[in-house]
Amino acid sequence: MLRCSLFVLACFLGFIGRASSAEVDYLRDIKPIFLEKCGACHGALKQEAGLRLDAIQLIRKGGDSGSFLNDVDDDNVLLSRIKSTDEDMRMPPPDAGEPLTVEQTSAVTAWLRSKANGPNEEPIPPPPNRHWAFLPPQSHATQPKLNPIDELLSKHHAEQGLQPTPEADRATLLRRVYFDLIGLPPTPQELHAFIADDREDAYERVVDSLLARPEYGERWGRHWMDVWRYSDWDGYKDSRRNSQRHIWRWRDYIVQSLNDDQGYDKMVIDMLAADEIDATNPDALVATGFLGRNYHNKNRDIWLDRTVEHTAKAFLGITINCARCHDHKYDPIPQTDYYRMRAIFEPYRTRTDRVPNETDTKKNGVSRVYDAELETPTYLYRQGNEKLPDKEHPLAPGLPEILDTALTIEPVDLPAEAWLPALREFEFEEALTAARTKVDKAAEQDKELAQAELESLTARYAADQAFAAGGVDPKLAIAAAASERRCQLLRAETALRAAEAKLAAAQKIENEEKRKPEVAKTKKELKSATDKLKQAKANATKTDGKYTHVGTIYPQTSSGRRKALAESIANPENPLTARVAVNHMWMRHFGEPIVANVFDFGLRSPSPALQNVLDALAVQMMQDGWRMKPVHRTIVVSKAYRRASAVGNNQKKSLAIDPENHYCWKMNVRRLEAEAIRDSLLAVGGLIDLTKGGPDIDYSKGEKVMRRSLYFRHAYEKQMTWLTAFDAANPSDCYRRSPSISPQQSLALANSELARTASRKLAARVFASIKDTSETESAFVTSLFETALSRSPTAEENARCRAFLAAQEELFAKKETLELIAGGAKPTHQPAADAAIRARESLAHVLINLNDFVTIR
Amino acid sequence: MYRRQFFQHAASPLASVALASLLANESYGETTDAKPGPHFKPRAKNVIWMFMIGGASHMESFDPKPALNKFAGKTIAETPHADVLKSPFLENERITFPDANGQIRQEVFPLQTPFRKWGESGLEISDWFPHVGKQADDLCLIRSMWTEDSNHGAQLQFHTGRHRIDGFFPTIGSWISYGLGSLNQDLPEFVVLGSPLADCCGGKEAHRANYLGPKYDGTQLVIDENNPLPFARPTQGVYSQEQAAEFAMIGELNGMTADRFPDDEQLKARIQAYELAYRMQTAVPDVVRLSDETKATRTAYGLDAGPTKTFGEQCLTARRLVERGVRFVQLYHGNNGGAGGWDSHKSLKANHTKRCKETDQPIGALIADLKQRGLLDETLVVWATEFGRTPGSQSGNGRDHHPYGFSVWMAGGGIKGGVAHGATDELGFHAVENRHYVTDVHATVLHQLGLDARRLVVPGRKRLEKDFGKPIREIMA
Repeated sequence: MLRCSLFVLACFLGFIGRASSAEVDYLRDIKPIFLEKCGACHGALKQEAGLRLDAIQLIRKGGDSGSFLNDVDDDNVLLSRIKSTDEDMRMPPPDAGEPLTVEQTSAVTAWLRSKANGPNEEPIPPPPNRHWAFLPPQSHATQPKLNPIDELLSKHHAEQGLQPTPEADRATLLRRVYFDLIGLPPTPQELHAFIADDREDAYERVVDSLLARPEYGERWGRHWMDVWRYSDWDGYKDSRRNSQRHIWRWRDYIVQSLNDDQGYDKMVIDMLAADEIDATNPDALVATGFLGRNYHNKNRDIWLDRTVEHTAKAFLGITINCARCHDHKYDPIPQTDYYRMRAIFEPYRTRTDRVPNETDTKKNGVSRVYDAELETPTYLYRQGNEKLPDKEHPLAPGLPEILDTALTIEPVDLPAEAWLPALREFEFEEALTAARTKVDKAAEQDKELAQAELESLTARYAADQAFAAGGVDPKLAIAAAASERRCQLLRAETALRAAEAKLAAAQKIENEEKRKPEVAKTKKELKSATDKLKQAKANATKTDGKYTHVGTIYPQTSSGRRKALAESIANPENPLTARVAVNHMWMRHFGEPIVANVFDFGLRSPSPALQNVLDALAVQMMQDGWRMKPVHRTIVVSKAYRRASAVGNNQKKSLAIDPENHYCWKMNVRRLEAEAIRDSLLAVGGLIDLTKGGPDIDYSKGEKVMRRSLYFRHAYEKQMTWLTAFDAANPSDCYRRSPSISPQQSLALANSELARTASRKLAARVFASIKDTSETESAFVTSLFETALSRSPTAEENARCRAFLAAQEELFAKKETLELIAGGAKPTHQPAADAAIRARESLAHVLINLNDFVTIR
Repeated sequence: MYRRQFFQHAASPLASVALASLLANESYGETTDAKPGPHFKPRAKNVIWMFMIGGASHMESFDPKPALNKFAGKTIAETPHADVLKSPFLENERITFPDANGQIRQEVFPLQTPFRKWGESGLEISDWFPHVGKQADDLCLIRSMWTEDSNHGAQLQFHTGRHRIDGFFPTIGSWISYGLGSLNQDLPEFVVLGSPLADCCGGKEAHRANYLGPKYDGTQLVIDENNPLPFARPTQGVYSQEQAAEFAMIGELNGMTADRFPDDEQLKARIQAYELAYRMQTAVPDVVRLSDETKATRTAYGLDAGPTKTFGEQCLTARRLVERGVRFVQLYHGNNGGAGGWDSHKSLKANHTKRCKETDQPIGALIADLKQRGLLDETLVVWATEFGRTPGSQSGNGRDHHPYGFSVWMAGGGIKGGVAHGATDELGFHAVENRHYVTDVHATVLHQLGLDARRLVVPGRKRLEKDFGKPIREIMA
């Protein structure tokens, strides 16, 4: 449907594109050309040849060679440069961009001829360091009794002449706030209770109860997983290609932290540097999944590039990645800034630590990061080409200069359990238990060896504990080494005995043809065993202290770079961090962000219309210990949030003034996200399993396993078809969802097993809840609407639905005349045999397919 | 994301929602001159894009090099063409992953098949492609392709124009779908047939739309009328009368809601989406119902012979799709779960005779069929592969990956027939005459459909110079 309309669309676009060529309009036709073609070198950022072309007064002034408004018809510097075919002369230069098209050149010529008309008072873009987003936010809310959002918005509305819509009706509001805070619809009981609750703070009570529910963390966890690029393990067979095994622990960390109302600052610090700050706490270490997720199995440059790009986009809202190959074209970020930021991450690696009761870290474990090879230098790659490193000038770690923050980097001495995790109590206990069990279970001839191994383990632990505590204890080390040599000797003796027995057995083989090669083979083995024993005996005479550590030893010092970075990001002095976070939250409540590009707060993002609202919330969050629940609360209890989305007669003028609703004078209608649609189906069907957390569930089981959607595997090539139909997050990059409307979505809701099962269950449970009355059918329809759509039907809808029930029942009563649709999956839940019940199932199926089932009004 | 400037101009509410989706990824506001097309009068309506996975040898298909026979067994350095090893074109390769494959092979390996001249044009084509050869007068061979990746990431690169290490980008089919939309109200506009690339080499990203949004992704159809795409059929036990009544009721109730919310454009779009979905349930199984075809047609495409059956079904379905107005049909041949079926590091002869056998007859039949039905004029057929193979031998009887020179061809859709454009050097090593990077093929296809690659830009998403390519004007009829 959207597809077929594209032709129509193309015509409209053509129409817009050809905006009358008769008269050239500066703002419409000329300014965009100068910005695109000339902005990088002749704007606020750089003024090559003293020329700026980003505001009309400056254009008129000209550059070092003076104004070019006078001699339009010959020798005009501007025109001759943009028209030049000489690559050395042409503007923009070949490495900066494509030449202007003929249409663009003639537009500029016509404009110059018409005396460069335009608004005299065009604002001049400020110097980069005065860009709004690089200055600290300040709250301009002055009336503590008012909701700051409403206080600030009402001024905007008055200024703009906007008449806001009234508060939405209660049912609409309840559905909206339920989905927004917990991602599930209210039950009919909750709906009735709220409608009946005439206390003044009835709504606030609902909000507080929702924020206290564990489903809040799941709902908002999935949102933040989009921003933080959550991806489950993405491997092929046994290999790891992107992301990490067991990264679901990071997902659970996010959900739990949100439910605990952990500060955003703390979460940022954990994600970037838990291994330097909280090095022995697995509950914090799992947060470094944010970094581990960037792993690339073949190319370190890609790995680090992703890390730099997305750390900057997610937390700072800057596109530092644009400076990988050249200085940033729009922001004051030189190429060196990109590589200085890379240097922060240069030493980081990933590993999987053990968890109790599982020795195989492929099966379970804590995936985390750590620093190694701290001396590895970071070089700028000329033109971003890894073949062209600038080895003359290694770069020190640092933040982009525009943030004006020098990092104080101090290496971190790690606790022993972080660099020799095998020393952790549970690992020691488990190793000891295993060795003891081996002794108990050993056959008589193996007892001595098993006992020696147990003793060796204890001795090596003792030596390693001393080692970890500050230095090698020579006595313990020698004891450990001796115990190991003893094991070696015993093992060699055992092996020799076995080899001798094998040879003897071989010599007894009667068939000569079989005996000969077998004897030859076992003789070889015996020789090898004899040699090994000889070696072991020789070793046994040694007295040195070289023993095998009880586990892998990692570097004892971490660079401290990420800690410094994290602390400078999660810092009230940072002008970007809180604004970027609050903007993400706002977008997911209102459907539209305040700053349109959620990952670019740089010079291409001019001060947004609602900057004061953004800043007030950012300041509030920082003052409130970076907690997010209070921000959500401020937003959802505001009048702005509670407004109706439907435009009444009183707002026709507002619609004309601000059709895009920049000033939030009404609520935006939104389509639910993929996960919320699926979860909602499970909820209304009474199928939902609200078990929390745990390993990612096979994505192919999405129609069989009734857990919430965020718990299913979500990775490149490993996503549930059902969810991708509804625009689930792209695992590699999703700062913002792009909700579409497609026939594939209709097919998923109309034909999937999941949808059929849910509608059949929905019909049954709604019918079961109806008390026997004379109006059973009407009551059924009402309750069905309340359950599926969180509202009562209109009288017209109710009547139409009853007619539908009757018609479908009549249809099912004569099944023999009906025609089954072939193909399709086998349903787990069969349709009802009874015609009346099946008619109700059919109506339930209609309701979950309505636009309003996937919509928040 | 529902943008103002469009609402001001759009008369059709539906169109406005479509645009809203189009611009869903727009991030930088108003600095765009992106205008989905058509930008000018198109020469063709549809594209059938056939991709041979693994790297088909250009020398043993469409670019004969007798010099290989002459110098067989010598090292390249010993031939008079030793300078190919010093060419600056070697710099175009971007090596990233150390691999045993993807090397220059020194010992010249003779041609594994004879060639002959075909048709009035006398185009030289290998004996392994007799059916394609018969269509020579409609083919335009492009013998001067080059790419950057010496490994199979080049498969992805052929569809996005970017090296695998650069990540994922919109593909040629998605740009066309984005730029033009469909001619059919009952079918998706960008359809994929055959098993896609393996994950190693780009996977489904070779027919996805990336930042254009999932709406422009290729829709993969399976040639099975009972299950041609996900959720095309309801679960078993649903009656057609029951479902028809349900869809009608959905439309009615949505309509009542639309009366209450006349400004809700998404709702109107959703109503139409249901109408299309309902029709797709029939239209999609119909299009893959090859039993509708005559015995003669089925035989011509090779449907009744083992080796040709699979690709024959794909080619025949492709014709049925373009007949119904589907814009872009992407056919994959040679998925083997890894590098691809055409990858012949050893036993090239055994490998390629098999692969050619599987594809030659279906492709020949497709072109003949399109022509006979008068569809070839408006349908651009593209045959492509990710790179060629080395003039030197690998493992004694195979050839390695070769990004410096290889062949693709086009037919129909306003492209000259019976023409060989561009050339590699005597050894088939470097493309030397009319060199074309892979996006030149994209730009040409776009051009024939009335689209200017340079105007396909989404604000906030930087496209590089090389992403756009240049239309190959010399081959346009």
